[in-house]
Amino acid sequence: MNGMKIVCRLSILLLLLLGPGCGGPGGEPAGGTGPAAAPKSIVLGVAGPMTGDLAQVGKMMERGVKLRIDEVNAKGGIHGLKVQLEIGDDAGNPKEASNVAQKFASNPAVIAVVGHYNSSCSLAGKPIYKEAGLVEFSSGSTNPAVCQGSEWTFRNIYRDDFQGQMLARYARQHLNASRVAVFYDNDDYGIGLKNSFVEESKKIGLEVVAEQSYERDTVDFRPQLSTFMPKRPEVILVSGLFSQAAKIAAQARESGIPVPLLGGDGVFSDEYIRNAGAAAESTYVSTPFLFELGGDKARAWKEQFKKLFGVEPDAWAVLAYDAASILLDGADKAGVDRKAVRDFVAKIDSKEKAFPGLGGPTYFDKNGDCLKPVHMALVKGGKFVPAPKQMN
Amino acid sequence: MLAQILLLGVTMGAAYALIAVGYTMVYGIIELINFAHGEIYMYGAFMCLAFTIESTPYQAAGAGLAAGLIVWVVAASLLAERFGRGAAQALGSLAAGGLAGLAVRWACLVRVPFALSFIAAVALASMLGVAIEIVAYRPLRESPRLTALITAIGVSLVLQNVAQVIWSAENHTFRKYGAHPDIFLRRNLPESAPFWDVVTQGHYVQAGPLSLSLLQLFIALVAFLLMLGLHLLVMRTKLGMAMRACAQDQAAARLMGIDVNRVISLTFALGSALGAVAGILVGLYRDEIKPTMGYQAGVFAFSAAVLGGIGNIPGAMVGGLVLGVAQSLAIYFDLSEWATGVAYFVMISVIVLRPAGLMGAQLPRKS
Repeated sequence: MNGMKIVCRLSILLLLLLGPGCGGPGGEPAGGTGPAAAPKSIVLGVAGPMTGDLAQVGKMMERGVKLRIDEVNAKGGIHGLKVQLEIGDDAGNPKEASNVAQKFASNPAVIAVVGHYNSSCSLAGKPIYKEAGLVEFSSGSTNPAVCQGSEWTFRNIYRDDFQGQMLARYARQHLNASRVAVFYDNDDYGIGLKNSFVEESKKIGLEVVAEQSYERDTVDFRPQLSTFMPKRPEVILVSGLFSQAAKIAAQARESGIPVPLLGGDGVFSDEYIRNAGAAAESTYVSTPFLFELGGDKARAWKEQFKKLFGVEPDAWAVLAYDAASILLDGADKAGVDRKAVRDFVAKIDSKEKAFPGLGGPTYFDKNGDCLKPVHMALVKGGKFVPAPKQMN
Repeated sequence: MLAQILLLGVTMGAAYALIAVGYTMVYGIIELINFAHGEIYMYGAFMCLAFTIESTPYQAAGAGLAAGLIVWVVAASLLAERFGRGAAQALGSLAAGGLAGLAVRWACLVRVPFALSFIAAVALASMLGVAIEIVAYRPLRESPRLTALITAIGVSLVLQNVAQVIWSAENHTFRKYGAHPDIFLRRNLPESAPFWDVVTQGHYVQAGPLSLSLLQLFIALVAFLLMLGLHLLVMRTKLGMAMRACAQDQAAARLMGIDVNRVISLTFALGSALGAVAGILVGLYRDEIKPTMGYQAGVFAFSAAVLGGIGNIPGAMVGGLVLGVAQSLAIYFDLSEWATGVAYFVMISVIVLRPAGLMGAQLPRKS
């Protein structure tokens, strides 16, 4: 009888201890696609969430970079060297991101890394890349701190302090809201974006009537939603990623909340619409890129991408493609050397020298941040379309 | 608002209770904490989804193979029990497994109505529970308890990984495949709409500020009816009496002519079926069906079972409700991030004060 109880309590303990081990989404980081460090080739790393909830985004980044590498190799490579792609799967988890950074840093054939996607992951990798002297070029991390304090970190996407401001103004001016409720992911990205949104809201007379944070493994948002209801929000902001945003959308509609949803770039993925179904309608998201606004060049590229991979590209493929283009351009023009690549990218520091990327002209400030406009997309008829009103 | 939140807590609590009952039944009868129970919950949800939608050929083949294996194991054991071992029995069980596998593969490739999928998935998950018992626990019946416990954790991990191989780690939802049953999709009607229209067209119930979707009502109702049925079965039927007898003393039960293996198998079948029902309903409710879904729910339900007094069926129901309500109350008091922590805190406090659990004292216990 006593033994029984002890076993019983022990097993609770065991389960709790096991928790982070087997509850995680991804598991082992998937190995690279090819053997590295062959003398006849150089390696470009791609670091992002290749497994787990965000795998869709990681795959898009991978495809974007792959497309650029294929183009470069078709033209004879760089100084006669073939370029290889190596994947580092961080599963959207900062702990894994450090391992990925170590892996890339210790492989001398890697000349630069496109990634990471999650701000927390970019931040986790930053000191490792800095110490190894390897460029960490993020095409998706928007937290303001990502590029601070390291001369080896760059990005070709806007920062959240800017994005948050724009979202607040959009809600106020174009959605005519004066009351907003806020959900935010309890990580660097979610908190950073929420803070800048709230700060700007105060300035422009948009009242934040409720705030609720959530952890990445939250599945039931109904109780939080029902605490929002009596406060009569006119818009709900989701400062987080599409996987949770999709659940929030579905559960909000199921709880009879009809107000529009507003999200940052983290919600901008077709996977959001797939997961939320009809509940995704009338969600507004900010994004660094929209194909509809990208002109002929973007349209041609989209066709090429579709032919190669059999799926439609999204903004993350475009930005990763641009990142790979800049980095490989650097290796080509400045030399196959980590430092040379960094110096090349750092010298793109004014509008005149801007790199003509698919996702718009790209140049960097002293930090390694870049200034890009915020576009607004709207879910309508089951897909993202440019919102009728844009910020200017 | 508080009332609404309590209702949400009760809905989830009912679902937890359904899972918790599975843990507690198995514990009550063989004193094993069946950690693989969470995976049965997951498997039920996946199979219902797979039947409802048109799966990819790969997924259908994987699901078919898995189902074939399950049926093969169960059929082999049943035939061996009834007719002894022999070539004909071996062939028969292989044929049953093969046919079942092919049928499941076919059903995955076409769209099956939700209600049918539901029943088929529950049946399969129930057989999975029995198969696990036959393969992993029965040979260890006489071993030290820890051996069986570790085996249970192993089975849980294996099943999780198999599901990941078949369906990948991504999140699948009924919505994603446009298969969310229409009756569980809410359509907002004006407040003036008559009550019955709201139910039949809007698929929800509105009473003042309280609003419940049909899915929520369905979860609460199904959980209540199933648990009532279970209670009657255990207290009023011969099978229930056999179960209670086995729980008290297997050797004595065997001497009284009870087929202990059969009773244990049926216990697993019943508990697993309830778990699968919960898996499907919660998968629908939370828009989440993925290989790791069973883990969190399993831990939670297991805690509910312990909270109520493990081995005690009404206790599991009470435990589930208490945890569900505690979780949503935490959110009401603005402790969102701590909701799970608060629930565990409640559990730990109860266990410290009443080691046998809330209803544990009423337990008929062997010494």
